[in-house]
Amino acid sequence: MQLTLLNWLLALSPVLVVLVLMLGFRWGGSKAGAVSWFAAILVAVLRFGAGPLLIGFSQAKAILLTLDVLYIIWTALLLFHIADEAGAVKAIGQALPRLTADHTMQGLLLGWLFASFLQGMGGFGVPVAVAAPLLVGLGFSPVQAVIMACIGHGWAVNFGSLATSFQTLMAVTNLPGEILAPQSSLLLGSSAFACGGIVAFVAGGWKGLLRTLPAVLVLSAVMGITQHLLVTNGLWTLGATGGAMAGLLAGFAITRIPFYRGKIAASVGSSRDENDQHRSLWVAGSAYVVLVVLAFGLNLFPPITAALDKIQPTLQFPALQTAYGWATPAEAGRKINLFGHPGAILLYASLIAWFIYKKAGYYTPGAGRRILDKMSRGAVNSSLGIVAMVGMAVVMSHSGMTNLLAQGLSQSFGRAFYPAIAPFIGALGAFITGSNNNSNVLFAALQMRTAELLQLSVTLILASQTAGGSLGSIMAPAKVIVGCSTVGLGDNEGVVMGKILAYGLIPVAWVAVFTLILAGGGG
Amino acid sequence: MMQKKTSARSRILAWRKRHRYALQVAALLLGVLAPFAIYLSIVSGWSWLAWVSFFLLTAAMLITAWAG
Repeated sequence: MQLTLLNWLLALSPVLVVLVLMLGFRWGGSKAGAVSWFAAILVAVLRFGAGPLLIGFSQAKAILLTLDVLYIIWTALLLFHIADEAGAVKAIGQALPRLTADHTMQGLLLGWLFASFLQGMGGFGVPVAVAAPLLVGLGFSPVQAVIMACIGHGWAVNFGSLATSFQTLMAVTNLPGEILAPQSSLLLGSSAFACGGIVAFVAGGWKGLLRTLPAVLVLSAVMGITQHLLVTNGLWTLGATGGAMAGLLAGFAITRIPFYRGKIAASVGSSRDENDQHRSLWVAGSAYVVLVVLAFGLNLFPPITAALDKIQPTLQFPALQTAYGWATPAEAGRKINLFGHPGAILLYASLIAWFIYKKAGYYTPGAGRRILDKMSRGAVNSSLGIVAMVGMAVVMSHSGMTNLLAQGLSQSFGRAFYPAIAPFIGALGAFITGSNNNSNVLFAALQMRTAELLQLSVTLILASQTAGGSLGSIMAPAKVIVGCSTVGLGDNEGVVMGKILAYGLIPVAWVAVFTLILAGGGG
Repeated sequence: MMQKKTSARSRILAWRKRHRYALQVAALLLGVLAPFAIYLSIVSGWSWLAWVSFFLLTAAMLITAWAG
């Protein structure tokens, strides 16, 4: 297919449909995704010469990619609601501010470290929904609280939610995590400093930022390095969780320093309600401890891993070609590792955590039904969005639309500037669709093809895409609305949105500069 | 006549609101199962069944666009 402006715009049209419907008409991701699916099929058939066989097989390939991601989403939500129903999340959130009387440090503990930890374990808007009201309870204004909770966890989205977005990046590009992880964690780890700095500034102004700058530097180094070590050793599902846990532990240590501890008022220590008094913090955190032990443990014992990896169903696909000659070679579809998948590990952790909380008497009658109901209601709509958008993205790549888009981009920006553009494309995708995951579905193949055409490092550009997506997702209207609704800012989303956009673009620009430097150095 | 049309529309919208979750679950089940049916139909040479399955996938997307 020839690269002309009309063809390029038609190839872009499914993405434009998502953009217009979500930004212009405020539609949700699932509705917009479904309409863009129709747009992709129509353009692929009518303009790009895709036949029925290509469309049919592309949808079967897409559903394998989708299931790989949905396995994690559903089980991550299950684990989160098992812990939340037991009061574990609230107990952890209430314990943190009792460590220090320094207002900016309290803001960092909750808005940065705890929000990042929640992103690691749950995600899907949970960090903002949980951390923002706790910050308001500490005396921050509702606008401050939403901004801090949103910006604070931006660095943790890609390897958060048990690395759902990263898993999607691997699935869509067909590249192994071992190759993609190092540069992704490098870019995101460095952006943790920018996120922490912004939270400190919003919490305490220039004075608060300058006072806590050494702490922010140390904590971001601890989180960034821990995440890097985990993901470069194959534990990408625990990247953000491990990083944030190390950050929380380092945060506890830093609050022992008198300069950051201050005088703790007695009232702060007695702010727990009667139910929470009976909960041990250790038992409350056991769901996450079990998950970490399982994930590490299974990786440390190769015979167990080998046994779990035995059942990996997949489908075989023939070579496919459009009427204009764009070919996709014969290949196997995405393998679903039924018992060794990160989703399976989450499921095991969920079952063990359920028994621990049940034994400890943390559940009231009907808890099981409530957990399953919340999980299902939280996951169904986002799952629909993923089904539709992955279907759209695979049709686009199999009909040559993604390739044409990449050709256009590579000719427009050139080799020198594209590395600085790549994270903004990722951020735009996440802003439009509300998730790092969907941004990777939409743009990862496009970025990969553009990098190939420009002879840039594919892994660096993909790292930049997913880092941009991670940081862009925190500015998404859907997340901001969730945060505003939990702190009574239902009518003032526009004000918060404007401020989050202004602050949120700083870490994306940070990643753009880093990518440019790494690309210049042959990274 | 106009009033009848408006009330029918509001009845449909109210029905959608009441059954939104059930519609989403139905769309998800169709959206996940139909592609497998398409694959199996194509490799078995039953093109009519592949078309039926594709129609079901389209129905899932229509439901998603309406009630997602």
